[in-house]
Amino acid sequence: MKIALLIIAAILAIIAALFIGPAPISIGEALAALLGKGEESAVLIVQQIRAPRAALAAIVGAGLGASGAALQGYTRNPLADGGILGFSACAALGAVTALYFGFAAWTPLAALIGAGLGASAILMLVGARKGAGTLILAGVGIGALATALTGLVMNFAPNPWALSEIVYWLMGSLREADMNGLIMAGPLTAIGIGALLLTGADLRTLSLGEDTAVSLGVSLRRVQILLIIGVALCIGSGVAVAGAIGFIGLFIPHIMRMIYGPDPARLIWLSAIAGAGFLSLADMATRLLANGGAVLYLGILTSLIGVPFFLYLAVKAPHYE
Amino acid sequence: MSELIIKNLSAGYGERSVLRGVNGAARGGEIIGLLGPNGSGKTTLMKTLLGLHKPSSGEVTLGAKSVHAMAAKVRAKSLAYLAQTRAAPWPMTARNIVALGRAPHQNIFGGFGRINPADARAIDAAIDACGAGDLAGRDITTLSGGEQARIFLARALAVGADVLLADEPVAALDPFYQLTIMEVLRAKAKAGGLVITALHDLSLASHYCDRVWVLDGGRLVADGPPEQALTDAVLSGVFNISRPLGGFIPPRIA
Repeated sequence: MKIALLIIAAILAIIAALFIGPAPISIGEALAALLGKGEESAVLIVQQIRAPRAALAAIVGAGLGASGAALQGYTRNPLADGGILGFSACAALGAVTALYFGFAAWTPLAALIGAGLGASAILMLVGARKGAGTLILAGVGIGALATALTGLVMNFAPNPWALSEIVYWLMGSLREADMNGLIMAGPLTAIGIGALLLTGADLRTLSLGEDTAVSLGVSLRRVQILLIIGVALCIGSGVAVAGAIGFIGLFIPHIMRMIYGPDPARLIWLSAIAGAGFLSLADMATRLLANGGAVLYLGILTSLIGVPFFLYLAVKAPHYE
Repeated sequence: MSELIIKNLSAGYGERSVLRGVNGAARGGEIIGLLGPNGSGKTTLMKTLLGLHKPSSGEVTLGAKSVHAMAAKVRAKSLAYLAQTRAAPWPMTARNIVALGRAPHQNIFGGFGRINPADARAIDAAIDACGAGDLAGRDITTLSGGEQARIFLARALAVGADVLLADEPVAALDPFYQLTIMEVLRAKAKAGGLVITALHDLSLASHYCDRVWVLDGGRLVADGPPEQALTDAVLSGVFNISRPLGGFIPPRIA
């Protein structure tokens, strides 16, 4: 059972994040500490730092994976993901604006608002009964605008500290993961993935093209609304707690498609599971590779792993056209 | 099967009007050949009959109910569509393509569920009707054009709708596959269905269609059995060809 293997691997990756880190804590100690037993310092580290961080890595990764799979299914284009279609850039613009005005504590909310406004703009531009091609153009356009405005905000950063705060934030990290982040991102991502799963059957039908799908009773408007709200919730809450983390939404669905076949409905939840496992591993790697003061940012690591792998797939994989 | 009635139907895209006051009626058991030069409005008429395209005026009714006022799922179960462009973006198996024809019969949780026995029977019956049993397990992207055409036709049949609208189902096929596809359409009509199919091959239309509708510039200029509707005046006026000794030949060559 290839699916059972995937689920087990993802769960192991998340559990491993509890006992792998700079402070030496064994598997047994970590699991006991999770339940509040054992040494006080171990309980503190596991319950307050590692568990929320591991859970957030899994949640953010699941949201990014599911979003990428749903967008690729809808556009019938293996190059679509929340980063390319502008959702991440809109969320980042919201967060960066909050940092610019010195409201660092409001960054997560600002990221969510940014994603929501960007999604609304994309929905309005796409309009009723317009196809996937329009969504790609609207998303890329809105994303470019948000990136330009982010550059503008950095251009007018009031002082070097605000600028460096923005730059580090844009690199993406789970260092500040805590229970508050978990309470916010968990439910929002769950609702987002739920909305995406509801598009599954329609995405499958859309494999036949838009006219044929509509003749089979698919409402393009309903698919678009569920899709855009779902992606905005997943990516907005992901960016809110972890900053900009790229490339997962692009290459995780790609790998899942190669292993499990092209069914767009199944790929949504398969990519959510794989994304959760992958981001847990990647975040663990950033902690292990952290060398004294120098911190490796998660967003940089995912791109460094993702890009070569993606290029390899682009050259070696069967072409979907 | 209930009657499909087209009343004074006009439709277009923005300022450009494509259909101008089309009237017609059709019932189960018929194959109607939709004929006309490129750009005469065949595809637009089909999309408007299906409810995919909103008319600017006029009405289409199926069993006294307006097609454009029907709930999407009800309409999808009543009218099946074989589009002119047929392609799969992913390397899916042929049977999974045919299975998509059952989408109107599934609820919003269809993305999770397995195919139920009734749907499975409809899928197998459609594959059999197209003689495509040996192709069912193959990857659609590895099939030839003629094999793909049979699979996409099976997909449209799997819907189980009374009305089938097929847009150029034999385009770019070799003679054997053209006849195979037309035989499947004839069997669908014999079983009581209504088949409306856009065709360019007038000989094929003459042989297989009970009636032809000839469109010219968005108007229905002839409606009747092929031998009556395809008069010399229609051939030269609409298609710019003449008919010496049985074949259809462009005037300059003739």
